[in-house]
Amino acid sequence: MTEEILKFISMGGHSFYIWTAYFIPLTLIFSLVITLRSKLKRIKKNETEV
Amino acid sequence: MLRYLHKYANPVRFLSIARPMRKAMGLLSLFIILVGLVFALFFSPPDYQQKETVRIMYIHVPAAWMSLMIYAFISFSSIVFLVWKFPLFLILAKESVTVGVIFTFSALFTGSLWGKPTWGTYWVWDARLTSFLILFFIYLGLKLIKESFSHSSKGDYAFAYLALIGGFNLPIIKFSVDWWNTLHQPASIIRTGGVSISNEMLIPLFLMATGFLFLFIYILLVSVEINLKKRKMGYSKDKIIN
Repeated sequence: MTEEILKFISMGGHSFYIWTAYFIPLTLIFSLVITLRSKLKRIKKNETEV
Repeated sequence: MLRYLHKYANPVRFLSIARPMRKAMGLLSLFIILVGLVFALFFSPPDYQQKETVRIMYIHVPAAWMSLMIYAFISFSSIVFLVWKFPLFLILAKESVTVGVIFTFSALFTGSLWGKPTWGTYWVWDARLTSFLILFFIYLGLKLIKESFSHSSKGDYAFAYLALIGGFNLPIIKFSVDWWNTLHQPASIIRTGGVSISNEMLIPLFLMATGFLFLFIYILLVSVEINLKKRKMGYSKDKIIN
């Protein structure tokens, strides 16, 4: 089982290229989503206060 | 068409449709991307030549498709703004830029990571890669104009004209692999001879592309709602950010 997981993580010796290619774009795009959601929440809060 | 555009170019009407659609798009995109990731990382087979590195395709190709599609959308919205002067279309175009920058950067970055194990180099100045880099710079130019002229109508026109001119780069990107000898492979999916990759690879590719498309719609709807609310409240940009 552990061997299977390690084999999956190593991606045939190309783990750096594959995991970085998934991690960086998804982090960037979901960071934008989180930033926009919090901005919208803040504006809605200010709107109700006004 | 003009009557249809008039009907939905009204911000109040637009928001009444956008709000329920936004939630659906958010949930759908998250679900489809998760399923796409499972297919891309677990169920799709390794390529006979590229082995496991082919898995980069499932993030690289959808990101590249999205950056081209978003730019086409920005150009179309800019034309509608320039011809019919609908401010909502300028807002749609401007709010698409940031997500376009992220997708274009992602396509270049993942392509570079894919290039090293397959071509032996992170970068080559071939027609496809160079024209895509130009697209990234055009996006940065649009972002710069958007941020610099946020309160001036002169900036609106500068933005719309640059978006329109930059649109000429899209066919160059698409056909660069046919017009010139490139290290980048020719089209395997959107081509006249039909799709040339197996269904096991097509499923995660289309799942990721659909997930990204819904995510773009979600981000756009949230951004437009923020923009319209800011305008309605007459808030300064700084007040919102802090």
